[in-house]
Amino acid sequence: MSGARDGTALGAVAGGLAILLLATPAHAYIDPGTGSALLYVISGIVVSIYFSARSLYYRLLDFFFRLRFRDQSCSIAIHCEDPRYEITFLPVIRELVARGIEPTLFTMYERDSSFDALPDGVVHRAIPSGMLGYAYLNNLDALLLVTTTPQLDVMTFRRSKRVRNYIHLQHALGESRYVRPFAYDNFDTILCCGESLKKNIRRMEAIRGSRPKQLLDTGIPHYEELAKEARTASRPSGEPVVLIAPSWGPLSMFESFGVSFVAEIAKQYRVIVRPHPQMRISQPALYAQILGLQDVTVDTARTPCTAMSAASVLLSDISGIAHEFAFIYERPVLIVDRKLVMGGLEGELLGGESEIKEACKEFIVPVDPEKMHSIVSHIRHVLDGYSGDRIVDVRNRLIYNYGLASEVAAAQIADIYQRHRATASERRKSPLSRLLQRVVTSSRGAS
Amino acid sequence: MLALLDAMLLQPLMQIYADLLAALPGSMSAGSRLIVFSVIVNLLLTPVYLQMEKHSRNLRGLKDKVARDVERMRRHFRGRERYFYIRAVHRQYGYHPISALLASSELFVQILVFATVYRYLSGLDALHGQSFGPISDLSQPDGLLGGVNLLPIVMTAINGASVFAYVDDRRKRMQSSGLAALFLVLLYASPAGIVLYWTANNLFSLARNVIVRGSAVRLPARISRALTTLSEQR
Repeated sequence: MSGARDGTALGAVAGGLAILLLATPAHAYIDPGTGSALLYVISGIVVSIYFSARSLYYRLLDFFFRLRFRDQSCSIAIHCEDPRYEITFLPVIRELVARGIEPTLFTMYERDSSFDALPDGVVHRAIPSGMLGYAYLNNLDALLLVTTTPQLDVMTFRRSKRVRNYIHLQHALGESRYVRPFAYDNFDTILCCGESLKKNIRRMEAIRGSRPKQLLDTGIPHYEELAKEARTASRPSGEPVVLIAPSWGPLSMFESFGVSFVAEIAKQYRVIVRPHPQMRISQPALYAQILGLQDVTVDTARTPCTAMSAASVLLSDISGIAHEFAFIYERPVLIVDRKLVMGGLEGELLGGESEIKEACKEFIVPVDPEKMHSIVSHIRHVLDGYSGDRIVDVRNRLIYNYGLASEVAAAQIADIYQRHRATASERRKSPLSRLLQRVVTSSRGAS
Repeated sequence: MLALLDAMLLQPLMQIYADLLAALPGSMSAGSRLIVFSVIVNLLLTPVYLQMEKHSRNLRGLKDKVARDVERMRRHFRGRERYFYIRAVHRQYGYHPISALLASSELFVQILVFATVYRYLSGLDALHGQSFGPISDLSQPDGLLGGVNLLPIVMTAINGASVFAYVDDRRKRMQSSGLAALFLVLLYASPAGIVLYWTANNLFSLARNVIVRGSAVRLPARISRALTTLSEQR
């Protein structure tokens, strides 16, 4: 009897230990085929607890925000995260209004009188920036939401259950390569800037096995606005003008090479230096050094249009302004060729090299950082060798609807809107009226 | 609560074991009955295990893909951003960490069978005073090697052969070897009848692997290769 009790106790101990430690196997407790079942269990429990706890925090926040921001509704919501994207949205908004569609503009900043006036009928709502503002948008009731902000449903910008179609509008020439993970995955529609973006989004869909999005040939609306300003501005005259407009932060060319190369260029050419506005805040000493440069013009105007109009060639270290200068002003660019680390970016999964960089290398010429000492001869070489016609050719190949993108974008948004409105009104009808309508339609068909 | 679980889950299984043993011919010795009982239990559970193994394999395949992408996010991002990206990876694959538990359903069945069989055999009066070959009493440890118990060592040797022949991954081999050692400790002082049952169980598993994964002729070569690799790694 005592032996049986001992046996039961040992059995319980063995069973308990097995629950804690057994890592195996079908059929006989140590089956080589199924190695670490127990580790799966333990890691599953630990990770589940971690994710549940963290998820609970965000769910609670979301719940409180939902209570606070319920009943926010409109037909088309346009979300502008930062004033610099207004130049992308305003031409599209004007085109929508011209079509009789009046969207609501949600900005994550206040708009004062220094901003362009919105067309009549457009409602503006300033919402907080950051998490609070996204909580507002996450509970929005609208047919469409148009934004330039990527990573929907990845970080704190979540899909609202009451928004039918999330549309991403491009504010720069991109190819889904230098963007953070899942940049476009959860949108319904992407208004693509060009073929490279479209192709790479389809490739990412194939890699991730995600559902296909609606990809439309749209273009880059703000290029038209810049082009308008470029047409009215005076063109460079006399000796060539070099515009130096780098980024800010540790990767800025001023941070990497100092400011002495500016003086070297100024010995040969007229120079305009346009320090990045953020440099004044983040790198005040360097900013002051730039303001003190001799024999150069320092441009700190709100937009770079005047400086770009006056320039014959641009020297920069970021692609956004390089593309704008090349494609809108049809002039060459020298860009410091830093090998970008793809760590974690979508380009890591895509592999290969940037198609846009390759296509533009004749007129957006990469400069090896090691050869910055001979930058003056590079500038001379580029000024002598570029072809405006070639830039136009490449532009037409890389960018959809150049000069018409706002109109095209508005037409596409209007089309999606009408479709969803029709579906929504169909849903609002009572089952009886839907039945009657079906009977009437079928009787008409029969007669 | 525990009593309810016992009545609902464990007692029916114990009754099945009792019926199985009772159905065996009375002319068989207690030891032979245990061996046949072990084979029957394994055969009856084979379809269940196969189905669960298939399910587990699929889930493990998914988990491997998730782990690869999560590792990429861990490598490149930190803090809050990393948390959200890992969550996005989970959503991409329709995976939840709780899936790891579901992938181990076979483990829970094995534990249940292990615990109930152990409990059943521990309380089996029919083993008292029964001999089997050189074992004089199946209700006591065998003590065949001058007081040292032989059967647990044989059981562990069979486990070891399975592990070295069929587990290629070094980490998994270490885990499985650790478990074999654990079972040696747990069952060393157990009644010989129980260890005999387990030894038969492990032999069944080895035979199954030989049939499913490779011929018996290659088994010694596989073990020898695995041992050579192990000694080289050391």
